[in-house]
Formats: sequence, C-alpha cells, structure tokens
Amino acid sequence: MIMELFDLFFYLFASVIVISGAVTVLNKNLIYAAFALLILLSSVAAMFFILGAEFLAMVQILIYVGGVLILIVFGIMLTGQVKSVPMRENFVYLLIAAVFTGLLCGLLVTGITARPDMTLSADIASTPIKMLGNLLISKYYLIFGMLGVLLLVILIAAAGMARNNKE
Amino acid sequence: MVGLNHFLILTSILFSLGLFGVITRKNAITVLMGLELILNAASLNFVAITRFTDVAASGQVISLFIIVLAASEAAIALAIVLNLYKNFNNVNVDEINSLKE
Repeated sequence: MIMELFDLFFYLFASVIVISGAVTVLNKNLIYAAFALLILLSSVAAMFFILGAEFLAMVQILIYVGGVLILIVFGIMLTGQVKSVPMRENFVYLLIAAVFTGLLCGLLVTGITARPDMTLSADIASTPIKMLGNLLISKYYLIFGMLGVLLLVILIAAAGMARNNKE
Repeated sequence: MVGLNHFLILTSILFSLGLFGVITRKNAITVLMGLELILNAASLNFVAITRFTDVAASGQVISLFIIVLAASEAAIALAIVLNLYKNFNNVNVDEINSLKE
C-alpha cells in the first residue's frame, strides 16, 4: 500500500518536473520561465521529501525558492528584458542543439537501463537529522569550513561588484 | 515499482533539458536558469542514490553542499549580469564579446 503511494507521488512529481523544466527552457517570456522554475524547484523539494530527506526539502525551499529565485526575478526586472527574449534565431542551431541533447539523454538512459534496477522494502525510512549533523562536523568538516569561508567571500564580492562605484 | 533507475532516468531528462537551455538561450539570466536545472538534477541524483543504497546519508551532505554552491553561484552571476547591463545595455551573451568597453 505505501509502496503504491510512493509510486503515485513519484510519477506525479516527475511529470510536473519534466513539464515545468520544458516550460522554463522554452518559454520566451522570462517571468513565466521564472514561475515555471518556481514550480520545478518546489517539485524537487517534494521529491526530496518522498525520498526521506526532509531536512534537504526544507533547505531547498528556503534557499532556492526563497533566495535564488528571488535573485533571478530581481535580475530579470533590473535588466528590463521581460518579454520576447530572443532564442537563437537560426533554426539549424536549434535543431543541432535538440539532436545533441536528445542523443545525450538517450545515451544516459540506455546506460542506466543496462544495469539492474534497485528497489527497496516498503517502509520509507527518513534520514535522521542528527546523523546529517554528525557527518557535517566529522567526516566533511573541512568542506564545511571551506564553504563557510566561500560564503563570506561571495558576500563581499557580490556586494562590491553590484555597487555603483562612480566616484 | 519505482526503483533507483526511475530516478536516474528522470534526472538525466532534467539534465538534458538544462543543457539545452544553456546552449540555446541568448539571455544570460536564462542561461543561469538552465544551470539551476542541471544543478538540481545532480542533487536529486545524490539524494536518490543515498536512499536506495546504504551510504549513510553522505549523498545528502553532498547535496547540501551543492545547494550552497548554487546559491553563491547565483549571487555572483547576478552581480556580473547587472554589471554587464550597466556597461553594454543588454545581457545577450552573443553580443558581449569584448573584454574592454
């Protein structure tokens, strides 16, 4: 029973992810693309949730939907090109890009389906947050600290670059 | 029955969509959106592999790092885009081809 629910949610959110991803990539109106990106990021968060990563789902909503998407919408509005954003006009470019990425996707899918599938038992075990925190400060503490330094540098650099230094 | 392969196929479709966006769009912000798609595909991959194998939540930690890196990348890229708009009056990546204004 619970496995069927898992399947149902997977197919629901997978279709939402694929459709909104296509809208994000193909839509000419940048605001609509940003809204499709919002739906996509929320669906990825739901996917994290059904995979038992509740903490990551919350982080995804907080940082992506609350931070990155707002930044992108601000960028769209500050650069003032909301409607009719040109794709590449040349049809040959579009065709080559579609064929290339389609081939890449087909290659990946054949590679994936060649190996045996992994399923698991019926219960959805969520990862305890304590385990995540223990890993962060024991096994991955170097990356954790470096990311803290990186965030500080990024904050200073972004503020310095976006400032209007005319004097 | 949904297994690991379903998730891997979904993320490869998402990755291909993001790559298509990156190589076909002209606007720098849409290129950034394609990059977000690619990063989300990678992070969903890590979480799915954590769920279906026994690697003790390491994939979730890596996925957390990916989210942090994506946030900082978006901040820097938006600052660059704003500077480009100030100097060139558009953000088309085709027309921005000189190092000096």
